[in-house]
Amino acid sequence: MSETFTIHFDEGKTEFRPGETISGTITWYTPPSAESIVLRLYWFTSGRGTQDIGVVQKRTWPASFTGSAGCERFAFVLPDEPYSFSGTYISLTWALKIIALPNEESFKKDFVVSPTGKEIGLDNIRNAVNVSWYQKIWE
Amino acid sequence: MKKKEHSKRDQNPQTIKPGGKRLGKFFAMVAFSLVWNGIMVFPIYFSIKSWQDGTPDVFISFMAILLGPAGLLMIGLMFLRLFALFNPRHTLTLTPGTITLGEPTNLNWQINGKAHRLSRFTIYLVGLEEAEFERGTDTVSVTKVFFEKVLIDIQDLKKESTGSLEIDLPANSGKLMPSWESTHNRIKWALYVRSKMSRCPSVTDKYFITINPVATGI
Repeated sequence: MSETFTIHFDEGKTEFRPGETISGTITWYTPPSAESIVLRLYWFTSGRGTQDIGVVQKRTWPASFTGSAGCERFAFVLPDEPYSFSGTYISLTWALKIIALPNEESFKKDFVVSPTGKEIGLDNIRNAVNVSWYQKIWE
Repeated sequence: MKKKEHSKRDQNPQTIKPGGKRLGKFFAMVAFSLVWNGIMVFPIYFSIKSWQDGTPDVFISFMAILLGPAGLLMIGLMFLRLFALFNPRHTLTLTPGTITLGEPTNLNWQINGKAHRLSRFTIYLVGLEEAEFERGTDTVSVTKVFFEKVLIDIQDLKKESTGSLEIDLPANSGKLMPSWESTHNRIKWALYVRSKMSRCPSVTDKYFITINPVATGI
């Protein structure tokens, strides 16, 4: 846990459904040099592939407003997709990240977005007729 | 039983086209075969010549013996691709045009041409994860099938050249990820149609489709 920042989700929830509102409170204690505080709602990939990041929404509080310490409420409506998932080569994680600019000191908290509220596990679901090795090469 | 209702997405039927063309695969094999065998002509020629001259070059002879048969195999594959061009083609139509988790979708299939020549006709629904990464100066991609389901498997096509089936993927299975694409990573879905004529290898045509997430109205 960062001593500079905290992110608390309402009711301690970390599992959400698409279209649901994610809300909570952020607190910070930053050096006077901080010019603004940014809260980013985003997803990122991890695994074999090059990392992709998608920033969905963000909120900024200017330094004149924030001071060196502060506490703010936030609420974001989650989009339909992408879902949180974990596969063999790709995993996708949703997170909220609080960043102090310009030094970019940050803290993030992960959460799950899916229709069940649980991360989608890309297990091998196979119900296929057997194919011979030469057919696989051929195809 | 409560009838499931479609979300307000495109409800129109859509005829889907195969991702890779048979003719393209044939010409790719012709080009690859020409390049490979064009290169292999030289070691084979110099190998034979060295033996005829009584000064056998063992290294070149070894290369010719090792890599020469691969050229023959490619010529064989090239002819198989040529035969595949004459396999009956198919038309697939989805209604609605894209699949949405939790909403039934109708798939109409039609075999164009002489369906009775096929000894087996199979349609699979396949889900793939594909990740791209840099290796040196190249961009490499890896693919893994995470879902594979037989939708239809017919072994006697004497009477059937058309048909329909329903694709109904559960919204809350916790194991299905809809189509998704970012710069280097993607989840792809496809219908693989495998058709086999007697005494010929089977031919698989891939039709890439879109599977939408559950609609929330956002």
